[in-house]
Amino acid sequence: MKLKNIHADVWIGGVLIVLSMIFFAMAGQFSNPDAATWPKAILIGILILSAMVVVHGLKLTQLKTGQSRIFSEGLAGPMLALLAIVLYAVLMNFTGYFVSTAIFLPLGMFFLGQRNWKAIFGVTVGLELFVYILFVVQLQLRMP
Amino acid sequence: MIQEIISNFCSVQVWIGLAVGVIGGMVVGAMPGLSGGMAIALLLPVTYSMEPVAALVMLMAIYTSAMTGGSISAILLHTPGTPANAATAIEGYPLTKQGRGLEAVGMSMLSSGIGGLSSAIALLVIAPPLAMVSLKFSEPESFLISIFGLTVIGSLAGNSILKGLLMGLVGLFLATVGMDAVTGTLRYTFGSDRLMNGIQMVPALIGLFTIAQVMSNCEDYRNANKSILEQSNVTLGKKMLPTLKELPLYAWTWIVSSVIGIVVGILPGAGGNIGSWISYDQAKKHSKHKEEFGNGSMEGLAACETGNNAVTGGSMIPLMTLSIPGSPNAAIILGGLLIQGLVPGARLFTTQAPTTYSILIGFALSNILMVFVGLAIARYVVNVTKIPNSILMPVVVSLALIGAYAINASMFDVFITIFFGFLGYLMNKFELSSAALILGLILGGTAERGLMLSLVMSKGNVLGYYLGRPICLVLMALIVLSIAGPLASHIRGKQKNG
Repeated sequence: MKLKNIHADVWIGGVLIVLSMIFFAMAGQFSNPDAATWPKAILIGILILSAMVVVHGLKLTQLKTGQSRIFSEGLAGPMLALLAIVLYAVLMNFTGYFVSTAIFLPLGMFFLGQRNWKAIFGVTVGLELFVYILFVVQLQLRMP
Repeated sequence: MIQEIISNFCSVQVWIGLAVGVIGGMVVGAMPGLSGGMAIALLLPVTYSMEPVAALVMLMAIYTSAMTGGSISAILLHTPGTPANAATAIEGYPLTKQGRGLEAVGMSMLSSGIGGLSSAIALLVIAPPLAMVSLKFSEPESFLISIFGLTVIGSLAGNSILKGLLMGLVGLFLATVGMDAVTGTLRYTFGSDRLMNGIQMVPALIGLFTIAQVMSNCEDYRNANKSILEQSNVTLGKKMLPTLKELPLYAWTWIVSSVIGIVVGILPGAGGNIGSWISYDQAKKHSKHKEEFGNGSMEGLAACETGNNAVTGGSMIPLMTLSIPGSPNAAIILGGLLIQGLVPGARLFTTQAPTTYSILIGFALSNILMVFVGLAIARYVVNVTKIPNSILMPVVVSLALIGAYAINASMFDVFITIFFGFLGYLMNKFELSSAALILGLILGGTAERGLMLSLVMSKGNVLGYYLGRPICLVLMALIVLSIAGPLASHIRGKQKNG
């Protein structure tokens, strides 16, 4: 059986089983054992349901019907978007909101196919102005 | 109390909140790809610095107006702005093709207003006595009501109840991060001071509902610059509202659909789309002009728009009285209530009554204002659907991140938002319910506290303690029923499909 053909439910259930076992072990080390009762009960529930999801996923893998693959096509756009958002947040941390936005917004719009420079410039300036008035002037927020 | 309510409405902020909620909700609702829930989540950080009445009126106005705004694009462009407007498109677009687009929009606005207003009145009448029941609640009841709230997951889960329950448990687990309220022990903080207060709800909400949506929209990034919708070339007509003679023809549809919408709203988990479809189905069954349905029936349009907006107030009834959100959007509004220190239950209708009643009156007003605003701006609102994703998505990301930052002036919250955005995207992709996770996250603290304290109070005889309390017995019966119901229909559905 090729890994890429395994139904997504098997991966999801598997990851949750591993994570819940790790967190269960961590709960055993809490300074007050009473604080571990509730998380442990939930983690046991997650373990049981995850195992059921894995079994269900394996059945679907064998049937090869309604195949839902974890490594599906069409992930490029969302993953690039995620990378851009992370870079934007990191940049915001170092240069502040207004500078990072002045870089992220035009680049983001250009990457998504926008070629109308008036629109790109107008939206960037408009948004920065809007955020300045709302968050700095009105809400007196200490901006990043 | 009346004086306090009047003084609340003398505040400019309340009227600004109302206007932003109604107009903003309508614009967002009209844009396919953006939802009312996304807009509510995006505006939550702004409400921190607002007066409670203004903040909640704004959020509730967005909830109801987004549903109405979605009907504009459904009618004029055959593209439902929100899932709740899918039935509207079936009747609305044929009317547009017949040159009666504006008349259909007018009927939609009027019906939405009637549905929303009826539900606001139901909320004002039903919620206060129901909230008094919660006065009799102690820790065991709090625990069971949280568990009852979690049974909503069966309805929120979509195709797989199993995965829905799993996500609900994951939400409950995430709620354990931070300092334990009972023992003061730090749990899963990984040595970070920032996690001591647990996972902040608003960044999680913004991530799950806003960033995740942006990522989904980026799947087709090569076409992001294309206008989502094409310009409709048909004429829209001149008549906008039904004449006085025509009004009685729709009166019965409005009444029946309002009742259906309110009841559907009260039932945990059922959203505007269910209210809309059931109302539409009932109108079709009892109509004298069945042949018009599917070909542009004004009656069918009135039914679905009344039904979906009546759900809004209905879903707020269990939310404001028992902390049980009747819909995913109501779950986000619960976050808004808690931000303002408004805890659902009897206190909302006793010590905090002036604030609560002001909010409810504001909600009723928003439904009236929505009709007039909608009639005035409908033909212009259609144009916003032509803003391409290439402009919309970067702007939404920027607002989402600065909104998440604004809550605690913390970049940590920004990264939490991004993490939940990624998580939410994966969850949507693999049919795991984000609403179930958020419900677990919201109710987790109450459930744990209720259980742990009732264990102490029971002095070792847990079963006897719970069974000796009449409200607990009722709640346990309700829990069993609400689990068995969806499960039975799921099994029936499977048997039907062979």
